[in-house]
Order: sequence, then C-alpha cells, then structure tokens
Amino acid sequence: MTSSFAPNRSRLPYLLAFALLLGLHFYVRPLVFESPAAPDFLLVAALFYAMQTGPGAGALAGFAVGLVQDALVPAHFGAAMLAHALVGALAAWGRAVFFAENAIVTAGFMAAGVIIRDLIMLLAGGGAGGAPGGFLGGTLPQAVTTGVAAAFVTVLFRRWFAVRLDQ
Amino acid sequence: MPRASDRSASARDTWLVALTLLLSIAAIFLPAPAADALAAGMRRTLLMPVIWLQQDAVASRQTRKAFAKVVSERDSAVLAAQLLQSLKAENADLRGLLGLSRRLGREFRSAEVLHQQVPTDGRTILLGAGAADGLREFDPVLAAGGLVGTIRSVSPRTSIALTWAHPDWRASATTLDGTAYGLVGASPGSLGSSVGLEFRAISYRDTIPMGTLVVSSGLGGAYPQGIPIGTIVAVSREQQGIERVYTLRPAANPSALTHALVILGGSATPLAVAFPRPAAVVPQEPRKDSVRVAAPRSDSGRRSDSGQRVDSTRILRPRLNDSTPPPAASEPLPTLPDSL
Repeated sequence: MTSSFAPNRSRLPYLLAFALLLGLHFYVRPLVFESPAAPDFLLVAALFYAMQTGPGAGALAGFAVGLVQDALVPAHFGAAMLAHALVGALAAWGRAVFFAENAIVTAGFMAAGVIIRDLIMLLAGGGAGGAPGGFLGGTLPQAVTTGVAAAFVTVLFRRWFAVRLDQ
Repeated sequence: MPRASDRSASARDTWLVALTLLLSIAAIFLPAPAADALAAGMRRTLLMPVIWLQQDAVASRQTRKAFAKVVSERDSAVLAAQLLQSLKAENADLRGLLGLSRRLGREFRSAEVLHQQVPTDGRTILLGAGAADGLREFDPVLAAGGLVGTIRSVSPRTSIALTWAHPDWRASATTLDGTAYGLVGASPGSLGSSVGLEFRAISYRDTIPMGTLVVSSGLGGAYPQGIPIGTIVAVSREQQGIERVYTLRPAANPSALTHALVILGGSATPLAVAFPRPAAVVPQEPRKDSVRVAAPRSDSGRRSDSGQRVDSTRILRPRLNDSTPPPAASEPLPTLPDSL
C-alpha cells in the first residue's frame, strides 16, 4: 500500500542518503564546526524523508530523530520528539500543499523547519531561560546554515530522491 | 473523489501522526528517572557508534588545534621542569616553617563535550567519559573559567552533565569576600534572551558592588568551596525591604565548551586555590548583621568538613573560610550598626 504522497520507489536511495547525512552530522559537523550555528543534518534527513513520503512517515521519521536528540540532550525529555514529529508532519503536508521542487524553496523550507522546531522545543522545555545563545543567537544562524546545507543536498541527491528541480 | 487506497493511506497518516504526538507528550510527562534510564540505555546501545564517531571527530579537531600550541608550550615546559624539583622542595620547606600542610590536590578527569544541534544543548551536555573513567553522579563539572554544573547520569562510556543553564540547577554561593550568601540559578529569560545567571536570596541590606566575583560556598555539599560561578553585573530586581536579586555574568559558558573537567570523588575539599582571583575586588570587612550571624548557625550541621581546612588560602581569607564556631542558638544577636 502506498501513501498518496509517496510514489512507489526503492527505499535504498533514502537509506544511503540518510547514512551519509548521519555521517555528516556526527563526524563532519563536529570536525568542522565549533559554533552552535552548525547545520542540523539530522533534521535535513528527516524533512527530506517526510517530503518524499507523507505526514505519517514524516512524523515517524521526526519522532525517531527527536528520540535520538532527547537521548543525547535529555534536558527536557520528550520535547525534541514532539518538536521533530510535528515538524516532520508539517513538512510533508506543506510540501503537498505549497511548493514546487526547487533548491532555494527547499532551503527556505528547511530554515523554517529549524525555527519551528526550536520554538516548539523551547516552549515544551519551559521557555528559553538560560538557553546559551538564545533564540536569536543560536536558532537563526542555524536555520540559515541548515537551509544552505539542504540546498546542496537537493542538488547533489536530486537523482536519488527523483527531485525534478525547476529551472 | 479520492480512491479507497488514498483514503486508507490518509487514515494511516493521521493515525501515525496522532500516535507519534501522543508518544511524545507521554515522554514529556515521563518521570525523570525513567527518562534518564531510557536515554542512558539508548546511549549505551543504539547510539554508541554515533557517539564514538562524534567523540573521535571532536578529539581530531582538538588535536589539530592543539598541536601547534603544544609544540611551543613543550619547550617552555622543558625549561620549567628543570626547576620544578627545587621549587617543590622549597615550597615544602616554607610550608613546613609556616606550619601548613601541602596544597590539597584533587583527582579529576578531562572529558570531551559532545554538542548537539538542539536549542536545549547547553542545559545538559553530553560528556565523552563515564563510569569506566571513574565518574559518578553528582561529581562537579568545571571549565577553565569556573563552575559548569554537576554530573546527572552516568553510562559506562558517556555521562550527562546538568549545567547552570538548566532551569532546575541551583548552587549555594557567596561573594568572594564572604559578605553575602545566596543561591545561584539560571535567569528566567524570554525567547530572544541570551544566557544569564541570577544570585538570589540576598538580604535587601547587603549591597554587593558591581564586578564582585561570586563563588560556590561549599554549603550543602554539592560543590567544593571557592569555584567561580560568575561576576555581578547588575541588579536584576528587588523586593523592597526583603530581597535583592543580582544578575551574574557566568564564569563558564557550557555551549562553548570543548572540554570539561570532572572532579572525582565529590565535593569534600575546597578548590579555591585552583582559580586565579581578580585583583579589582578588594575584600571588605564584613558587616555584622543578623543574616551573617544566622547563616553559619543554620548551616552549622552541614559544615562537617572543617577538619580539612588546612590550606593556606583558607587561612588568609577568613571570611570565606570562617572556622569560628557558630554562636549558640541562645546567644543574643549582635547589635546592628547605626548605618543600617
């Protein structure tokens, strides 16, 4: 059975791309970036998967990424799961309703995903009190870098994801 | 009209979204010990490879950065090492002449800080050292600048530290000159705010000058005495006649840490000697108000480590290291100065 959002195609490209983004997130990012504004490749992977499948699978992917984040930063356990699941579902829904496949639009979409994710996390975590960097100092730069990373991923993996980029 | 398969897929999506949201909300209300156990279990099993990967990346980056610095420092260290034995002997002789014991040493463990890309990173931090390295729950975590937090949960190879940025974190603190005691905690900020600490429960009569260093008091046994926590930068708010709350500039920023030091074996002995003191703030003669008298009285039961107060720094800074026995409960309070 296929989702109304998902064309029936092999999951292998997704798995390969996800493994690559996992490597980027846990090895290349800490190797290269020191600031909290480093791109969030896990969110990029989850949102790409969500946009290519559907709200259910997107929420599930977001939930899984959130579970990983909550296990690594258990400051407010469950907040990351909730935020990522919501953003995953919204991404799939938004992609079906709103926009064409375009690298710049995808970048903006990912940046919005970071902002919404952080807002939900901070609200679910009892506000931003004491949050190092704060919303403006941490989230907005990260949204920009994540958007740029997503644009590169869109261009590089367009064949794997069968993305038809608008000219 | 949507096809049956589409309707079925749509219903499945709805159920999946609802299920994940329900599970997330259930996780938020999970009791802290259960949540910690679940997180620790995941770090021990599923996430172990990615943690190892990140730890290796952080170590590589640190190695690359530190190499040039180490080479230049090595030459200086070689020269200094030649003088070390004679300096040690001279120090022991001088301390013997003054009747002091040797400077207290503490065992510590250095650990890489493995940052994650979520806004709550910094409230808790993942450390690349765990029970196998000797870390235990409630061990104090320090940075070069001062106090970072305490170990919250420990796995064999990793641990989670609760930092001062977490809303649940508190520490008993005092000014460097010992004139005011209070509690330090994260400031309740708005979404756009940056990091901040507050020095609370300060008597309205105790005016603390800007720039005063606030250190851990050692009361309560959570942290060793004398670790810098922050510097007074402003009066945050005040409740007329009762309490004044000060804003602190934190001594260490958990979100910018690459390495942390974990003091092994709890908080029994003071660490004041390990941190340099700013010369700008001159210790003042303490005022004899009722709060100062009441503080040691109420804490007398917790000051069980007085037998370890043998370091010279503690003798030279009598207000921080007050070894005078607290007054008996039946003694009358001293007369308040006229200026108050």
